[in-house]
Amino acid sequence: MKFSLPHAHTFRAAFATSLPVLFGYLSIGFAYGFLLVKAGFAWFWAPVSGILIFAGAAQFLSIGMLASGRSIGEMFLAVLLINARHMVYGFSLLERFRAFSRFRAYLIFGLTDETYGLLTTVEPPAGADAEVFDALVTGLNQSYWVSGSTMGALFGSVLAWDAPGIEFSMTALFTVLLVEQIRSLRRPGPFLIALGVCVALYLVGLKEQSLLLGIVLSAIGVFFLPRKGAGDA
Amino acid sequence: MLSGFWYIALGILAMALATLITRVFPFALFSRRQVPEWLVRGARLIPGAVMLVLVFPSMPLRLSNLAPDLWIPWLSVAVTAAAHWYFRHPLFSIILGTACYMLLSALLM
Repeated sequence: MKFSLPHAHTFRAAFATSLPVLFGYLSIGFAYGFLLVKAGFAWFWAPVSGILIFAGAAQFLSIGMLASGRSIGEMFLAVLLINARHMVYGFSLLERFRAFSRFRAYLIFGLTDETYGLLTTVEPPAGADAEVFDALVTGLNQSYWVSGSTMGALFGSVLAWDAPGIEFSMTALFTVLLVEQIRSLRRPGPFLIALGVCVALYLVGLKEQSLLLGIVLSAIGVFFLPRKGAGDA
Repeated sequence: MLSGFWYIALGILAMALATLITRVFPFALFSRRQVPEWLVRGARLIPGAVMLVLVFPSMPLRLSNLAPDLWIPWLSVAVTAAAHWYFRHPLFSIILGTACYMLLSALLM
């Protein structure tokens, strides 16, 4: 008789599934933790954010917003709109999560871009409990993210070099996400609206304070775009 | 005015709540109902526009003189975007763009 833990087989499958995210989360998490500490915050905020927020782009944005003393309401609204894409993810997983109960709340909480990508492309192995498998994939991903950001924060705390210019990595991250959006949307409308809003705010002299206003106006603006065709959002 | 610790703690909680709302939303409201079309449309189109708003204000805008502090950020963003357009490897694009920015700033500014 082969002895094994109840879910050892499921765990191995979940770990194999999560491997592509391992390297990405460790390194981007590391950059986040490093940046957080170099912006003047204590290292422990990195794991606290990773455990409570667990959203890459929002956490990078949070560094800048906290460092420049933005209001709590501004942070709330900005994160709500950046993460609006998560609303789409939920729609396509409604069916898969319907039968779940024990880990359903955690699965919904931990639905990052990468976890969504894995769960929608990989099927649980034969004989495995699908809910345990999905929860393990999500939990492993979060553990990579929290580990990477904690290591980055600790490394940043002991490193005397301040890495001048490292804050640009935040702009670089948003540029990468912007390119991803341009590639997947395949239409210029939303970007032209956002560009128009940015230029308009700049011209009326609101450059520094305009982040939230820009986000809100652009979000409203996209609803005025013409539809591409029947059946297309 | 909130001071250090509590300001950061409350900020993180507010952002955690906002993230949670976006993730819970479809499950809480549309388990038994059809998702309205305008909502799907908004959730699809808004993030792209928001990303542009996040990149643009950190770029310097002046038309007077072409100093390094003006063109280095623009060049670095262009390098990041081009690298990502062709190779689609997020980490590589971010490291390349940031290295470009840090190196040129150290050398020229």
